Order: sequence, then C-alpha cells, then structure tokens
Amino acid sequence: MDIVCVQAVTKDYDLGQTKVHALRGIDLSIQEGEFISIAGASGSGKSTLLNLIGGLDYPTSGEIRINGECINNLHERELNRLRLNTIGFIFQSFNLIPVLNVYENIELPLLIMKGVSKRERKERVMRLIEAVGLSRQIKQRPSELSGGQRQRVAVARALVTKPRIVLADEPTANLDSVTGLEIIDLMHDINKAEGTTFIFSTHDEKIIKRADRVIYLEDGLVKKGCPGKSGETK
Amino acid sequence: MRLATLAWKNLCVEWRRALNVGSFLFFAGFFMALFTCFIGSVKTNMETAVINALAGEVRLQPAGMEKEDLFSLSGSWEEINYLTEAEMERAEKALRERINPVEVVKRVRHNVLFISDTEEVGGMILGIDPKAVSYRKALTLTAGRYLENDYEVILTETQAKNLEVQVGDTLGVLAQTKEGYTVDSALTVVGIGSVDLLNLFGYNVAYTDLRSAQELLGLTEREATDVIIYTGDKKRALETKQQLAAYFSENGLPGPTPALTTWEQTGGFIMGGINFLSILFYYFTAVLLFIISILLINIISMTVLERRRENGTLRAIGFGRMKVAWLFLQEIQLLVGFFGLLGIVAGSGVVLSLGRKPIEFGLPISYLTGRHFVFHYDPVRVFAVFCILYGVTMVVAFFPVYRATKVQPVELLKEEK
Ligand SMILES: Nc1ncnc2c1ncn2[C@@H]1O[C@H](COP(=O)(O)OP(=O)(O)O)[C@@H](O)[C@H]1O
Ligand SMILES: [Mg+2]
Repeated sequence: MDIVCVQAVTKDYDLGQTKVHALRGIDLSIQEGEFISIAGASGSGKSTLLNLIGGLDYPTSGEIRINGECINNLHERELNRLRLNTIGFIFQSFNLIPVLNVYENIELPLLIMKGVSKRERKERVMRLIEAVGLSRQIKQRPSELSGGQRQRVAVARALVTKPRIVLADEPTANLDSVTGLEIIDLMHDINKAEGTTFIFSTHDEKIIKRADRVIYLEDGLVKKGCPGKSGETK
Repeated sequence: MRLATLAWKNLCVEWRRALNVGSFLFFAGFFMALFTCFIGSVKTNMETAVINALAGEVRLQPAGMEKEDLFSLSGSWEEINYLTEAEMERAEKALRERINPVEVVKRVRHNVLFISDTEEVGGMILGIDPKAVSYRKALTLTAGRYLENDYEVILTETQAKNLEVQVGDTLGVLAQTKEGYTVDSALTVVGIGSVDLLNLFGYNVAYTDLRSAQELLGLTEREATDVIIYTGDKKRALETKQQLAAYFSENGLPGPTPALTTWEQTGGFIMGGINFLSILFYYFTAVLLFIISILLINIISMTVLERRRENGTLRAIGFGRMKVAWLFLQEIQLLVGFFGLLGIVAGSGVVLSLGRKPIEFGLPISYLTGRHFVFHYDPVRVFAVFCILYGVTMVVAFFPVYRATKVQPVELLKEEK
C-alpha cells in the first residue's frame, strides 16, 4: 500500500478579487521507505503540496491519503494526532524553539506523546543526538549553533516520534551547499537505516541528484517525462 | 523536561520580553494595593472619627430617641429630652455590671448663640467632661489646647472666623434652659479646631465642658442628654447594645427603657455618606481595572503576535490549539504570580512604611483624608486585590492567546519575506 496517495488535488488561495491556483490537479503516490524529492521553481507549489500532505492545510478539492486514511475531512484534533504520530516536519528556517537547548528541542514532541516513558524519552533523544552528531552541543541553544547544526537538531526532532513520513520543505535553502549536502546525506542515511519515508522539496540541482526519485512541479502541476535520478516512476 | 519548563524558560531566557508584561503587572499590583489600602483607610478613619467625635460604639439616650441622628436634629428648643438623675444612675449601674467600657462620656448637647465683641453666631455645643479623651483623637486642633477646666470652649475654624475671636478670648453665650428661661454664660476659647474628617459632611460643633452645657440647658450635675459609651470594639457594637438592652429588660426597673443605638445608627447620616463614598471608590476601582484589562489585552496580543512562528512550530509538531494556548497562559500565570505579587508586596511595603506616622494633607484632599492621614494596612483587602488581579489577568489573557492559536498552522509558518 502507498504511504502517501494524492489524487486530483487542487488548492486555490483566495485573495479577495483573484484566486491563486497553487495546485491544479496533482496525482502522485509514494511508497513507504522512499527518499523522494519534490523539485520545481519558486512558486510552483512545492510548499503548498507538502503542507497538504502534512495536514497543515486543507485541499480545495481532491483526496489525500496517508497510510490509507483519507485526511481531507479529518477533524483538527485528528490532524494534530496525525502530525504528532505519523509525520515529522523539517523546515527551511529550522523553526527550533529558541529558549530550549538541543536536548530539549529534540525532546519537545515526546512531551505530548502518550505512552513514552521518561527513560525511553531519554534513550531516544540521546540516540538521535548521537546520530546527528551533536553530542558536544547537547546543552547549547539554537542561537549558539551554526545553520547546519540547527538543521541537524530539526532532523532529530522530526525523527524522535518515530514518524513514518518526514516532510522537509527546502531543508537546505538556508545552508551553504556543502552543509546542505551533508544534511541531505544524513537524511538519506536515516532513510536507509530506518526505512523512514522522506519527502523533501528543493530547487537545487545538486540536492535533487541525491533523491531516489524526483517529482517535478510546474505551475501547480506534476511535470511529466522529466528525468529523475531513477526516473519518474519507480 | 516537563512542559511547564518551556513556559519557565521562555520567561527566564527572554526576560526582556517577559518584563514587558511583567512590569505592567507589577505596577498594576502596586497601585491596586496602594489604592485599596487608601480606600480602606479613608473609610476606617472616617468611621473612627464618627465614633470618637459623636457616637461612641453605643449611645444611650432617653426613651423614644432611637431615631435621632445628630445631623438631622431639628434643634427644637421645646423637645429637648434628657436623662434624669434616676435614669442616669440606672444606666451607670448597667454599664458597671454588664460591660466594661473603655470610656463613658456623659454629654449635653444644646443649641446656643455665641456672642463676641463684634458678631453673634448660632451653633451647636457638645458639653463633655473636660477629662474625656476619645474626642481628642477625632478633633484636630489648629490652635490652643483641648479642654481642661470648666467654662472653656473649643470653636471650629469657621465659628472662630465668623466670631472674629482667637484662643484666649472670652466669648459670651446665650441659651434657653429646658424650662424656657434665657441664661447666659462666658466661656474662654481655649482651642480652635474641628473633626476635619467629617468636614465633608458639615459636622460643625463646638466642644465645651459638661458643667457649662448643663447650666445652659438647666440640668443638674448628674443629668445629661445622652451617654456615649466607648468599648474599643466597633465590630461588637451591636452585641454591646443588646447586652445593655437585655439588662434593662431583666431588671424590670420603673420607667421606660432608655434608647440604645450603635455608632452606625447614631451617625446614620454620615455613615450613609461614607458608604456612598466607598461605593464611588469601588466604581472608580472597577473603571481602573477595566483600563488595566484593555492595556493588558493589548500588551498580550502584541507579545503573542510576536511569537507566531513558535506557535506555528508547536502546532506543526502536533501540539493542539488548546495545548499551545495553555503554554502561553502558563507563562502569564507565572508572570502575574511573580510580578503581580511583587507589585503588591511593594505596594504593601509602601503602605506599611507610610502608615508608621500620619501623613499631612492640605485641602482639598484633607476632606477625604483629614489633615493627618493614617494609612492602615489591610492584609485581607490586599489579598483580595491579588486574587482579582490574578483572575482578571488570566481571563483577559485568554482572549488574545486563544485568538492567536486559532490561526491555521500554515499561516503561522509562512516565511516573512
Ligand atoms: N497563503 C497563501 N496565500 C496566497 N497565495 C499563496 C499562499 N501560499 C502560497 N501562495 C501562492 O501559491 C503559489 C505556490 O506557492 P508555494 O507552494 O509556496 O510554492 P513554492 O514552495 O514552490 O515556492 C505561489 O504562487 C504563491 O504565491
Ligand atoms: Mg516554498
């Protein structure tokens, strides 16, 4: 079964007089464990698509299924649960909580998760801190970290709840190209090791090349016949 | 880490931001504590003045005089009622056997005509034992001294001015006895002063010695128009009154039972005024609180708006709307718990240190405060103020916080360009 299934999804933004058709009929399906890039120029609808998949917003029409469950008509509370348990987010500008240190930022989602004991919380956080290579920065706050280190914290935070899907909207856009590639490689390693599905958007060619599969967006539509690393359909 | 840690860290690390709301809560607490103690003190001081200057805790009068209020006294010469020697004896016995008053003041009140070299002015006199002390606590002298001997008078400033007399001058007094004869007397002006806390209510009487007043009304040395009983406990005035009444009914002595009134009844007119004044004050406080609320809503709205991104991040991670709101409210709770309390403690400190000695006030404030204002610290009131500040802050904070968390997470996460 596809972990993500998007069918005929459109999204309009109402700007009073005019309507922006951000997505104009998207169909795609993503299998569990894929490492997939959504590519396209700025304004092509990448963020909009990721937000819809992540349940941060509702589509205008069409259907989105996560793990077989249609999320279009989910109640806000159920979307919260979905975001907490099934999906992890990584943002372009990191979005860490400035007053919390590395450890606490990573631990944060676990605080509202049911059934995770204190000990398990600690284990998970420590393991991820090691995995993203921040063992020495554990007590530092985001303002004391470099951009790359911040994004590593964000990666760890996204993974701490053991989500099945991680959505990353231009995770490298605020990083220099070397650091950006390091982050993508880190994500890829985790993808290979844990089987977590990664969907990240980018418009950087070098980053795109790291993906197992690429979906190109253009003006709110999936562009057919563009070569990805392993082709459009896998 | 616990969730509350996030609220706590937000305050400690971002202390400048916390100070925004915090300093406001500090000043709100400070002024509310100060203000409530001021209102309480004005009321207490006025009540004390009513008791000391005219009512005692309980007043005893001839039968049928329950309704008489010193301020609504018509001053009719024919209707003068007084306690006869027998009644007085009985009253004194009752006081001795039933209660143990701090001070008992036999009093004769009368309307007279003051005559100086240049002027004639009508006025009310209160004749009391020159050794009485309670009245001194209420009466502020601007010149001279309190009563010490017979044939002395303390005039109010207005009377002294109208009569054009000064301390040391002798004043002629003309009055009608209870039998209707005209008598005259000569009193030495030993002091000038008035119960300035009651000026607002037009309380304007001259204090003289009991003997002179008795002569002017044609009473014997043992007779008086009323007896003012000081027990030192105004809260138990009603109880004291009932004890006395019980005594009179148990000891079925001949003659009608004397009239007994508590200070609240005796000074009914003034007490009405004082109560009106405190209602006015409370209204004012409510308006103040309303203004505080509006400002608070604004400050909190701004702070919460500044933190859209944090809000959005938490929502994206899976925090529910109410959970995020609760986090913000926890911060505000800590703020009001700390800064609000700090303000109230500071306000209390100011009240306590100001209360150590009387504060001098001039007109027009002295209408409310008296010339020597004594600040009373009232912990119960102050605690109530803290609870109100706390409650209002939390209720008022809820709206901007809830509104801020109602926004869709995408909107909150949108990159500012
Ligand atoms: N909240 C919004 N309101 C109005 N228009 C929006 C909003 N978000 C995105 N858009 C528009 O939708 C289109 C797609 O935007 P977006 O998904 O952010 O593209 P990308 O992430 O690929 O740059 C753009 O034209 C953008 O201006
Ligand atoms: Mg985008």
